Amino acid sequence: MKPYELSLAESGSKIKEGTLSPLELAESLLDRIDEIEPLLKAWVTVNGDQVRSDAEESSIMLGEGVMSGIHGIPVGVKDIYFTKGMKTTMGSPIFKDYVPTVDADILTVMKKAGGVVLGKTETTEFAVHDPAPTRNPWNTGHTPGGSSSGSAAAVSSGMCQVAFGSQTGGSVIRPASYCGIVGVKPTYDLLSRRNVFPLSWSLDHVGYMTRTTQDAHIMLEALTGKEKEWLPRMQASKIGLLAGYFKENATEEVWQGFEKTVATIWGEGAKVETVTLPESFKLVPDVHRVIMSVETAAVHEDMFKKRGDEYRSYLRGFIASGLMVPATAYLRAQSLRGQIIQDMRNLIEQFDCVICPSATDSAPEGLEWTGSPAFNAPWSLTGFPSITVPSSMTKEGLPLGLQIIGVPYSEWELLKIAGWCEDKFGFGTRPIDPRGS
Amino acid sequence: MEEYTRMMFKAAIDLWGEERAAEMRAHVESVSRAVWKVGNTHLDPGTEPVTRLKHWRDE
Repeated sequence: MKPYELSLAESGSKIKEGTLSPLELAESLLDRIDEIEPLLKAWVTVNGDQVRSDAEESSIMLGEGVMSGIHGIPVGVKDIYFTKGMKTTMGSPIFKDYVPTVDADILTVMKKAGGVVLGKTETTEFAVHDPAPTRNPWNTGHTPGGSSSGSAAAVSSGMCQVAFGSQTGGSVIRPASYCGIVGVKPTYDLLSRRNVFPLSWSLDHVGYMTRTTQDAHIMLEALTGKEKEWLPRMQASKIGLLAGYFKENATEEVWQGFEKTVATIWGEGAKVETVTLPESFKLVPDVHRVIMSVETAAVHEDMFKKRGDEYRSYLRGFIASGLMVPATAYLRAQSLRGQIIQDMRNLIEQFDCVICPSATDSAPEGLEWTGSPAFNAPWSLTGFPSITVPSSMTKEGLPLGLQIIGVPYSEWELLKIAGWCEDKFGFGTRPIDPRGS
Repeated sequence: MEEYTRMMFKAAIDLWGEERAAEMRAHVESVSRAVWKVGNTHLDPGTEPVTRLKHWRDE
């Protein structure tokens, strides 16, 4: 097996025992990028010389001991994260030549844990809607989802083992689901957003993607500086099944796949109970839209006035609409958000976690639309942690995911449950080869 | 709601001009509908908006 095919956990073990060097791993990933990037278009910038130099430095530092589970691991970084000395475009022509002088705080944390920046991955324009050129490794005629399009495609196809994304609506969980990998959107503010270009301050989350739940656990350890035992389990778990809104908005194939997944979980001994969503939940799409449109407009207002013509059509309309929203509507939306958070917390606290499909559909055909964030936006709005784990396939051969949600700061427990599910679903965790798809 | 949406679209024409407003129509309408719904949902005046004052400390 070539190094790029290994999971992060496997690579980390080999690096620790000295049977794989960070440079060998980096070379293997760079070769993989050379092979399939022309087909997938997942990267904005890859600086091979810098990666090799950082990997060599990482090898030298091994002499002083392993810094964390990601020591020597090259990591993909969404192109809205500031990277010192490396171009950061935000997916916009306005920033096509922008080179930050600082790293995003979370990248400083990652580097202290021994991680290496492999390159910058494609994003939709300013992480909103207007699509990136990236294609889905499972079927290159389909979108990988967005806005973290490049990160999802890169992890899924073995161009990296872990990549950062960000989520304001559904930009980590949805592309991870469309590309058949694990996505983690942690509790709001668990990971620093400083020097990640904002989209909507009170909704933005830093997240990441891997091919296995154990890898996601290792990455969380590295980013939080905590060590926790990896113990996938579902002992006597009580799971709430979210129907109502989710059943109404899922395609028939997604809901059927979800029901089969639930049957698997049930058959393996988990206690699953259908729950009724609180009345306030029906306000989620409108409350999310008002808050996001106003905050996005505020982020972009000055630049929009000067360079409005350089924005693509969706974002231009979204910013203009946000500028027209009365201040009282924004504050009312934030008040209603407080009610929604309280009601959902009261509901979810009764369970170990709640579950629903990770997206309304499988990856849509074409690159024009990155799919609906309708099943992810509720957790961006509430700030509750959510994780997607690949669960099954459509008839067309596209992946579907199971979304697992918990109360704030329950991500460690959610990962254990996701690990148990991963084991029972038996979904492959090796890289997908897009050639021939 | 429709009346409010029409009013907002008219305001968009005043702000951005007829051609630009027409391009943005779908956005203006969907945000207007969301604003109208949020503005017409009963709210307990005691419910505090989700805001935070975060003090930064350089260490």
